[in-house]
Amino acid sequence: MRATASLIRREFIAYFTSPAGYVAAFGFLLLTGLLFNLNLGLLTEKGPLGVEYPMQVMLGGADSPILAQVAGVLFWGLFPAVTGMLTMRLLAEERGTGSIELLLTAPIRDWQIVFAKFYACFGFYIVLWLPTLLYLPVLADLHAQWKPAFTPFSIAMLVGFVLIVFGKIAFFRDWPGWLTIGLGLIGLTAAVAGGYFHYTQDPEHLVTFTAGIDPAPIWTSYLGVVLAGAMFLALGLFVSSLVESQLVAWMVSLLLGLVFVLPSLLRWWFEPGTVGYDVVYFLSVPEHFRRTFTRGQLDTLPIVLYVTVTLFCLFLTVRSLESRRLR
Amino acid sequence: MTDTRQRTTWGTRFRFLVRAFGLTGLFATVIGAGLFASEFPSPSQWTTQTVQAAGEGTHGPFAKVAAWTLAAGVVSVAIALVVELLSGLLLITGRRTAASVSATVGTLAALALLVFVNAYSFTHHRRLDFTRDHQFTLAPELAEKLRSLRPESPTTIVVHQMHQTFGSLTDERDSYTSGAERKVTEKVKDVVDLFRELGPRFNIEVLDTEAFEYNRQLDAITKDAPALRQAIESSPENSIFFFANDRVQRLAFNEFLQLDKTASKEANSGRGNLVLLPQGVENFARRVLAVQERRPKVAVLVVHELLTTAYPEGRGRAFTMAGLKKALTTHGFDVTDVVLKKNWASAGSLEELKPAADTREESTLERLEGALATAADETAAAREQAEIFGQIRTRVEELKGRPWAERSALYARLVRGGTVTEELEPEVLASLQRQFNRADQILIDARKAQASAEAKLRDALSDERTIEGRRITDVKAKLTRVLADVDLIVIPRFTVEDATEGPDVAASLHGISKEQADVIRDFMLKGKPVLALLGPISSRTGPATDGPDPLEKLITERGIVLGNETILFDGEAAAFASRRAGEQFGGGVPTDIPPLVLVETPDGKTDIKPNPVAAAARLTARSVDQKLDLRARALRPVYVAPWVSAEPRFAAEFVQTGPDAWNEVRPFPQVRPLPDGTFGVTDIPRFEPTPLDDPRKGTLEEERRGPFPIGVAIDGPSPAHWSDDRLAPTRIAAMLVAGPQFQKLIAGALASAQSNRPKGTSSRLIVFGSGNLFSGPKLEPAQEKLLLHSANWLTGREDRMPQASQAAWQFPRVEMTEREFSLWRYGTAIGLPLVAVYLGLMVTMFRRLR
Repeated sequence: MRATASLIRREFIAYFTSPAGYVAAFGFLLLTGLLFNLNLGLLTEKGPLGVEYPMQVMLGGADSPILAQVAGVLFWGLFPAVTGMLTMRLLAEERGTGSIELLLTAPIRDWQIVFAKFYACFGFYIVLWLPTLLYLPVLADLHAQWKPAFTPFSIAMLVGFVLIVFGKIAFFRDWPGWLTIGLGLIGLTAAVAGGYFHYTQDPEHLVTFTAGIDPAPIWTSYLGVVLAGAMFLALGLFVSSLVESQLVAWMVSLLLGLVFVLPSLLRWWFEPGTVGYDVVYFLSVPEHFRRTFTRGQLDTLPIVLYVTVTLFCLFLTVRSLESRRLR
Repeated sequence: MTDTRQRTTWGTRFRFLVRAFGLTGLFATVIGAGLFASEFPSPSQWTTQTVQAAGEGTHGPFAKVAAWTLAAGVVSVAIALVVELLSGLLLITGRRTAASVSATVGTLAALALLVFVNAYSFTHHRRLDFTRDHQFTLAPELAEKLRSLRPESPTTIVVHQMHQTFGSLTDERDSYTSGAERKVTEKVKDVVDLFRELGPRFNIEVLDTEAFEYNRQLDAITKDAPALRQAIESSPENSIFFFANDRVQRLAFNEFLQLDKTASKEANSGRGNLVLLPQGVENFARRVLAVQERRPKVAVLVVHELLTTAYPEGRGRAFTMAGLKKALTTHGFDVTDVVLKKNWASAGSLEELKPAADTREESTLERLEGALATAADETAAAREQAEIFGQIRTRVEELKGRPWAERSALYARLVRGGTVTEELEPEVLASLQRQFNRADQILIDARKAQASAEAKLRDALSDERTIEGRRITDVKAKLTRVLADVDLIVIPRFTVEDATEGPDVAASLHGISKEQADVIRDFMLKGKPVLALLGPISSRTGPATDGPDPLEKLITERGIVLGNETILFDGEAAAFASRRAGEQFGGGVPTDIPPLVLVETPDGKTDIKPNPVAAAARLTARSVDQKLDLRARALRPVYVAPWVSAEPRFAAEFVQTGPDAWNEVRPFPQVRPLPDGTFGVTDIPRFEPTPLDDPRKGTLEEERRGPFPIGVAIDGPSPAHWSDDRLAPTRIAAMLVAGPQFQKLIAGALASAQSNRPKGTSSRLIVFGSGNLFSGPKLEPAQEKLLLHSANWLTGREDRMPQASQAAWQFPRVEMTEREFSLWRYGTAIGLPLVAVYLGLMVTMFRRLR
């Protein structure tokens, strides 16, 4: 467990200590910033123009205006490229430099290596998306009202948050495992339970949010982004375990990622309701976002696809490492 | 340095060959598929039969090459895959360790699990709706009904954009209408997606009349659906068509999502938005579920063929109800005519007209018979005249060469005593010859007219239903039978179009018989609705002297009071005055009159529900951001009785005149001889308030200024005595006269009669105080909308009327100042990426420092 935590720490910090992580973050924020600006214009438009689902524009699913369509193509073209950038070095670099031998002979299981690598890059992927939460006040027309409603429940919630932060610090400072887990669990319990009772039992709340625009598409979209990201990252990790060159790993993972993107181009060709369209919808991640996630819906079809492909790719990655050990 | 390359063996060579073969096959498959797609672009054409036929050269050499390339590629890939699979099995069963075999089996098992789980998910997935207003969730009962649709009879839904959003109301197009069109098309697709999840099959097609290949698309869609094509071609506005089993239902865009242009312009503090009023997914679903539904049938009851819905031939354009028929049939009704009087051809006076329940064809037949009789009479007269001229001609011929005295005697008779000299004889003979020719020509013309009339009559007689209908002499039975499958009766009584011109049709002409009124009463008792259009009843000489006819009595008993006066507008008083001055005698520039006012709720009465027809008309007006310009002259006041207004379901009086009007008992000026011997216009109508000592003062008959109600809608029970004759007022009166032995019975009857009237079946009734509100070959847009809303409400089709019961849809907007906007714009487009750059540079510098 300790070895896994160490490996996660090492891999996660590596993203922040190399320029590649920042380059990826810059490109990602530039792209999402442009999409947000497109949204901003539509949400403050004059006359009979606008956007019904702002997240559809953010995640490249809007058909109009034409600029949103172009931005959508750009977004989904770059999405597998960005996830490929995050995963290309994970195992390919180890293989290229030969450090994989050291890793394989270390007292750590193959699945733990794969888990740690995936966890770290998935964590960085989440971090990449965190700045986009700043867009929410506009995307949901969100307004917050603060009140000093300090009740036992609200205090428990706040203490819970603080304990979670300490747990994170404990994790990165390599404090004892029991302390890290203890702080995390107690903090999580206090935050969740305190938050629940504070918002259901207390007459006044520390902070009250009101959303002028339906917030459901926002959280469903973020859930979709998390799950789809996990799938693309797992795919990239598997590819990275097969090759030695990072460039080759990036290119192959980009190509494999496009298998889940390009079918969306065929949606114009098939009549909705036909088997052809259903197959296109099944495979096409942009179509999942255009039709369901960004419109406040959750469809079990893409969720099952993302989860199973993620697990399958992680399984294959473990097998890939095992096969190397067998040679 | 050692060579790190693998050693080349026969095995590696074979593996290379197989993989090269497979890769080439894959390449050939892609090329072949591309070529094949260029020949067969539709996915439905991609069948093994098509590929086989193309390979045999049925579709030409190009398709043959494409099919062979595709087939060869697929076979190559298949062979390569089989070889790879076999070599994999050999490896497993050969020198691999048990561990590697178990790893391979585990991988295959995981792959199988992945495929199985996703295959199951593909066929059993569910969509969960978390939107705030559950916009992607159908009501359970609606979903249940849609599930019951048979999948083997698919419904084709055609979204037809003809860039005409408001039918006849306006053809103005702007950014609001085009925005609404786009959004409606999107929403229709969303709804159809929802329906598809329930199982039944739906095909959706979007047709745009401005698209390049519109006609080709239309031909393709309607190839086996002529009814659909006819519906599309006769559609007056952007519409959604539902087609299944050769039946078509139409839904206008506005019946699904109605544009509120007024609200759109006012939204966001005047900056504008697109505001659409949802009319309910149920409305949409109902068209799918009721695609086989019968169209409501409307019967137009008139007294003469000229007043029917037939398109006028020459004269009668003002009287026809053709515009009404066109508007109703276009919007989903069937219209039929019933002519309530006959014997027009032979009647010498109004009293000789007979009650009838004829179809228009029967009435036409009667007219044609009359025309034939007249033509026969004219032919006989012409023949007689020709015979006389023939005798004269013979006599003149006989006298040729005879002495002048004999000839002059004949000529004197022929010129009726005039003097004829011998010098004038050639002129007389020439004149006679002209008269002979003229008589011959008249006879020829009369014979032609008779032949034509006979031919027309023959045509009319060829319709067996018409002949059969004529055989029924029992008017009541016949009218009952005619109205059996009718859903709405319309009774137009055109009397006056313009008071300054005088009456057009005598009100008494429209009177119906007691037995006909009984049928209409029974119709209402069944809960069926009536739309009465009653023009003023004033005659040229003054107020009507006849009492109300049986129909008016029925309407009065339902709780509607019909005024006997005619409403005139102030502008018309000026016209009368100018006419007296001779400026407009015999016609001239028509006077302008103010528009009628639609009233949802009376002023100050907020506790009354809005009138549904007026509310719908208001929403319609808002959809084009204009007021409905409804104008009519020579109106009749129509009031709701106090006992109805005491317990209103909604505001009953919903159409009013403006205040610039008054009610006139003598609405027509008289042309009388003047003291100087000439004729002049007298009795010019002008407003003269009823004096205080006049008994009419304080009653509805008091001459006063407007506004006057001229449209009333009620929805309530029929009078008790309609269904129970013991409660008839005449019977109660008879019992009162009969004596005290009936006291108990009288008390019971009176109590029952007084204790409201909710004994009969509830039905709807609208009365307009205008006989020609919906007359003419084409209705004005405002008239058409009022008619449609009235007809839809009367027939219980409220789903076809604009509603604002659901929250309006509009694009979400975020309010912010210019500064906030700039901060958000630059902060997110430049600020956040710069933060990433800044942190990256800091980390790089920090690492260099270490």
